Parts: sequence; C-alpha cells; structure tokens
Amino acid sequence: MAGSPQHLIKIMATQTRFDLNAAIENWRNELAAQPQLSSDDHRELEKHLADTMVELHQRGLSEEESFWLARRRIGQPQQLAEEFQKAEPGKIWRERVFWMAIALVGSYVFMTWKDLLETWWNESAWVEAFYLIPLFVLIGSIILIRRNRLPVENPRSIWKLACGLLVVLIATVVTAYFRGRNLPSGDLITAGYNIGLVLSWLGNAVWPAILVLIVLLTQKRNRKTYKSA
Amino acid sequence: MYKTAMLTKDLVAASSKPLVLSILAGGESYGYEIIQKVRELSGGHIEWSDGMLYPVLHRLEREGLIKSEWREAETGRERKYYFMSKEGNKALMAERHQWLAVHNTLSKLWQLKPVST
Repeated sequence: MAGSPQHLIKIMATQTRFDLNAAIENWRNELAAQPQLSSDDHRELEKHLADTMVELHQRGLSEEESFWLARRRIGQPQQLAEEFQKAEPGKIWRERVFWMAIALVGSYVFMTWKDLLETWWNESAWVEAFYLIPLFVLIGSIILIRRNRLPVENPRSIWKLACGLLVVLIATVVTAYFRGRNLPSGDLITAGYNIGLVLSWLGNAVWPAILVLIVLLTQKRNRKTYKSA
Repeated sequence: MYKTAMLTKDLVAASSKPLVLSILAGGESYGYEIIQKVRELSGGHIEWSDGMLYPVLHRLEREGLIKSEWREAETGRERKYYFMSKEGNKALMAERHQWLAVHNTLSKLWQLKPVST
C-alpha cells in the first residue's frame, strides 16, 4: 500500500542509495563539456577531487557527503574553465596540434612499411633504413605515453586520435593506390632517377623530423623570461 | 573566524603568486597539498576555491617560474608535482621585496610592530 511505513522505508532506501561511480562520471562529463579544459587539466582536477574525498572520508563523512563537499570545493566547471583558459590561452591548441602530428606520424609509419615491403620484395638496400625514422618517432611517443608524460588517460582523446588516424590512413591508402597505378615501370635506372632517389631519402628524413619538432614544441611551455621587479 | 577577516578577491589574486612560490621554495608539492598548507598557515583567513589554484600554477609554469611533472607518490597515487625553476627563485626575491615594502609602509602608518595575525 502506498502510505504504509514499509513502503516509505523502501522509497528512502532506494532514493538515498548513492552511486559514487555514477556521480564521479557525471562530474567528469560536466568537465568534458568545457572545451577550454585540456585532458591534462581533467586529470589534475580528478586527482584533486580524489584527494579531497579521501581526506573528508577519513574525517568521518559518508561517501556521498565527501563527494559533494569535494565537488563544491573545487568549484563550478564553467567558472573553472574560464580561469584555466585565461591562464593558458594557447594550451588547447597545442594539444590539438599535438594529436594531429601524432596522427601524421602514424600514417607516415604505415606508408613506410608499405614502401619498405615493396622494396625488399625487389631488392634490399641498407639506405632504406632511413624509412624507419618515423617508426622510432612513434615508438618514442608510445614510451612517453607509457611514462605518463603525455595526457592520454582521457578516453575522449584516444577516440580523437583513433578517428584522426583512420581518416589519414584511408587517404593514404587511396592516394598510394592511384600513384602506384600511374607510375611508369620502364627506364628506372637513370641518373635523374638516382638524384630523385637521394632527394626522396632526404625528404624522408626531413618530414618526420618536422613532425618530431611539432610534437616537442607542443610539449614545451611558452617560456617567458622573468624580469625581476 | 569572522567574515571581515577574509581576504578580498583582489588581494587573494595578488597574493597567490608569492604564496605559491614561497611554498614551492620549501620543496616540491602538488595542488592539494599547496591548498592545505595555505589554509593551515593563514589560519583560515585565506580561503581559495580549490580549483582556482590550478590556473595560478599553470600561469606560473607558463612564465617559466615553476616546472611540473606527473609522478607516482610513495602511496602509489599519481600526482602532478610542481617545483621551482631558477627564474622562480629570482621572481620570489622580487615579490618578497615588494610585499615587504608594502608591509613596512603600512606598519609605519599604523605604528605597528610586526603583526601576528
């Protein structure tokens, strides 16, 4: 019966059950709705929330109370986002450029493997090792990510990366296919071809080097020398 | 704690830099710990909205006064640690000079000896 005490108790029991994971997930989503916050910011704020909650919980507050108080102490996501952006106006773009560079490196590695396999199919040459440079770049990036120097904890970033990679890969495969079809198969061993080959090796070294530079630049803070007084 | 004893918004903003730099001069730290320290040392007079500390830290980092690094603490928890750079030490000296100048001027005007509050 609707008015019976048992019924009320039942309602109270179901209504007061607090799902910490869901609450945290909600809060995360609110943060994620602010485009000015980078994934590194999310991570930092999340750790802060966790630290605050642990402390409040140890002081005797319930899980729910700890969460709400910690959340309140951190502040409104929208206000926070504004302050974060004021502090570092270019940060969000650095992050975007960073992911673009990573996506390009990924596509480059793919092309390299493809070219390498084709070449080795015909004849092997040690200079082809040049082509492996982007592979090292990728491995380097992965090591950085593993050491938590790159913010990829946020699943949204990983999705962005995956989509970017996919698009670039499809474009690469399509262009490679058409280029391969139009390539002449005769008179390859000419002086002109050799010079072109050397240039292309150089190009293969410069291109990934530029990408590495972009990746490094996006990691480095905009330094401003401090003038005392 | 009286409401009148709380710092105004402007003063909170202005003092955040020397406070953070002074704390980091005593050794590396992370956001949560910095806030705890300020709360404790100020006796509750300086109350920061927790989240607002991070933009301050990021600004100081952009200015090259502090550096940061994600690292795992002994407890196994991961945190972004901040520590001083050489520039930061110089900046702290400058800040110190300026704040003491204000402090001394006011002290003379109010005919106070160094105050405890």
